[in-house]
Amino acid sequence: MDAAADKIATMDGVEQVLAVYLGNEMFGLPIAQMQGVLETLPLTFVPLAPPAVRGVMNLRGRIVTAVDLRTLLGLAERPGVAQANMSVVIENGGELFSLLVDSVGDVHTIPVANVEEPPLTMPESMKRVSSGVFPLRDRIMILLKPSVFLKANEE
Amino acid sequence: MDEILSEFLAETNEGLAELDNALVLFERSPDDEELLAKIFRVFHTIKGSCGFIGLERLGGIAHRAEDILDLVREGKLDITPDFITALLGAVDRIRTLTSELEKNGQEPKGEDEDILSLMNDLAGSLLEKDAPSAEQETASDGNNQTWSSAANDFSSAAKPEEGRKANAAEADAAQQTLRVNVDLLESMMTVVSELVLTRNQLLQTARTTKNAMFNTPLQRLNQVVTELQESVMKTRMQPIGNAWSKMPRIVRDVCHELGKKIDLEMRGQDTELDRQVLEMIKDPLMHMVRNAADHGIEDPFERVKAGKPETGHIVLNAYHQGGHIIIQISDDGRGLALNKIKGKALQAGWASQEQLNKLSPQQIQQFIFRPGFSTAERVTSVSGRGVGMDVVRTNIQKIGGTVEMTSTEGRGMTFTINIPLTLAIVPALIIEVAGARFAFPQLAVSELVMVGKGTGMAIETINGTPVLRLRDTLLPLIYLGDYLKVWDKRKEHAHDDGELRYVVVTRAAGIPYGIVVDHVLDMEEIVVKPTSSNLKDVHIFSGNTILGDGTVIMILDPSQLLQAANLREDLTHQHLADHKRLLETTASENMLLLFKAGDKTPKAAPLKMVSRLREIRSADIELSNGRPVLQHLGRLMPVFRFDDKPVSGENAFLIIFEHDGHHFGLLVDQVLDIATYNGSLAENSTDMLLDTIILNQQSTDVVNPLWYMSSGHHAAGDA
Repeated sequence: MDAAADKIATMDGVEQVLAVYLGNEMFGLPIAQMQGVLETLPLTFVPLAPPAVRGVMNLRGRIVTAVDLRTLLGLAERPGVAQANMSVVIENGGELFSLLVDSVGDVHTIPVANVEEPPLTMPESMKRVSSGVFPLRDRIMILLKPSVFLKANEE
Repeated sequence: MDEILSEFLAETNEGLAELDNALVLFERSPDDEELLAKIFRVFHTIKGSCGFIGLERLGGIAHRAEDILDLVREGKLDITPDFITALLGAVDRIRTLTSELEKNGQEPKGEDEDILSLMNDLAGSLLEKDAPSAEQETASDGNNQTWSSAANDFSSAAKPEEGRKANAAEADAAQQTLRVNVDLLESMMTVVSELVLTRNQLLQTARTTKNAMFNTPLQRLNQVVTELQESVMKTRMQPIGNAWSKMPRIVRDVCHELGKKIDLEMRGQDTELDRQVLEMIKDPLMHMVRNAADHGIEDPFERVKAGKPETGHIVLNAYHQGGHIIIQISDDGRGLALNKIKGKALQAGWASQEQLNKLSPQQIQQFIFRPGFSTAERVTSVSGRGVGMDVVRTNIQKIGGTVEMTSTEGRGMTFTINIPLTLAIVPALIIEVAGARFAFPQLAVSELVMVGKGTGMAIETINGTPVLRLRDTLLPLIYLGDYLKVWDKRKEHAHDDGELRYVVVTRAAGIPYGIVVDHVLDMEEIVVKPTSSNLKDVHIFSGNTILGDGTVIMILDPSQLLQAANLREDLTHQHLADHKRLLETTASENMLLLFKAGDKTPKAAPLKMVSRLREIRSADIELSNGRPVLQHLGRLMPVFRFDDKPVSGENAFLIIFEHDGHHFGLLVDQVLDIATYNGSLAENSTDMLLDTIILNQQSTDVVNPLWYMSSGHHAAGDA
């Protein structure tokens, strides 16, 4: 599944990613694994679940686990009582996950050749889940590997 | 894996499943030509396809098997147990090879000389001269002939007419059935479940928004969806015979190894159940049949000595009952030896001799479900591998089933398994705690009890453990809210606020317990879906589902809840015994029985000493050695008057006290009430009055019953 997704995404040497924002940071998620972007649906709270799991929801008849991307990436909690109001639904290992983010930006088509190694100064936790960074005109986007950061939560 | 190979594997596996059975049958009726033809056909087809695909090892074994079967067909070779064993060995090897093939896509390297020479030895010199021609046949099969024509080839050669008929029938059957990938069926099931839920939502909306325009098509949709759901459910059903196909072989192997004679009878093979359930019970069933053959049935000598027929009998029976399927495994063997079980229980420290003496035979038999139980004197290659009945029971309980047994020592035993037909759709209770809803499998619920204000039922706490007095048992309780940490933040965590709550009485691993919840909302048919990988460590949820209103809900697992709450079996029993004693004492510690006797001052006696109250006829009081006595519980009991006044009237009230196992009666004018006194009373007093206290704004004399017992001078002799 993941391998196939990677192949399609890197066809013609370009990859399509969706920009999402957490605070001031910009992250890129691969379009190939994406099922949709939506406003967060009502969640069912799951007691005793890992902290990143915010609940489960019904997306067109399939049960989707909602995880907070901030918690998964080890970033600070969303300030105040503000709820994440956008979620990006991705498929990973045959399951659907809804990644809660602060906001969603544009789709970028990036040449794979221009993706750079994560800078040495990047925190180790971030480096582990990132496939590299891509410099846009005015800022830098950190590319994320869902298969890795979703696993990290299980350990 | 390429298509031809996977097709070959599927067909071969099917053929192999048949072979095991056919060979065992063939051993008993070696004259059955049809059976021989069937066995021959399977080996022949395997050989043919192997030549075609280029699988040398598989082809070689199948070829040799075919060769010796050919000798049987020609009447040159007799059927002996060794012959069948050799063929079964070949079947096993083919199975190993195909499973490797399935994994790696190619034949593993290795030699099959052991298997081949076993078959060679049987044939002796007969095989040598036939070998070359058979070799040629393989070659031509491989290159030119297709599957069915290969089969055709044999049957027409053996029996031209019947062969053709059989082939025609086979061809028909082939058109009637279709091989479908299991994943596809699963996803169909999921989609249909969604459709059902969506329909439910639609129907709910239609009821509230009176729009007649939609009613007719909606009715139609309703029917169609129901039909669709039923037929898709049917596609998942498989006859239980599929899980039994290995049984004759297992029984045969046991017989062979241990020199026993056993008949295996299978009834109701066509009984259908969900393939998921089938998969789950396959191994437990196999284990139980193996047990019956190995431990249950005695060897022929022993059987004859016990006055039974030489051949033992094992019966497998399956049938539908309600929404359940009942599977029975019975044998006419030696049954459970109670003494051996007792010995094991003692040795393992599960119970003391004293406890064992009190247990009924049924309770003692239950020990076989303990982990680590085995009374087998020896570990044979077929049983005693440490997988015990506890695993069997756990596996069956996992799918919401139960196992019961009856055993008569020396006569045999019967296991009765009761399992649900399907796991896909189960009825569930929707419960609520602090505003959060959860589903609880209804199969696990034995009753619902309402507790709190006005219900007459209250949750009590002993040593910090909440319990419910339900009829004559003490039920340990788990507060679901506490455990899930979902208490309403606005309220205090008070449990004893007397608010109306519900106790869901359930049972896991044989232990009854109650789960305290705020509300029981509804009963709904739910489609169980596995939880996400992120939640797999939260064991108390066995799955999740989407309710009719579209919300997602988590499904609780009763056995995990019990484990999480740390109420282990032995612990529970011990604690409860202690608790019961405590409860009895606390209940009557400061309770007083109020009565009227003597002067006008109300009198009272400690309730904990009172054994019972009786209204008696004055004439019933007899004299023994000059002292008044009364017959009570078949014994003579001393009776005392409260004061010197003789008893007037025909009837009298008697308070019967118990002390150190002795009973004695006290005659009073009238019994009034029971009251609680919140102070302490003097103990071990030797006076007639323990104390004088204020109760209900009246001074009350608390009498010391023991004073009468010790002095005995206020006898009621003149009554």
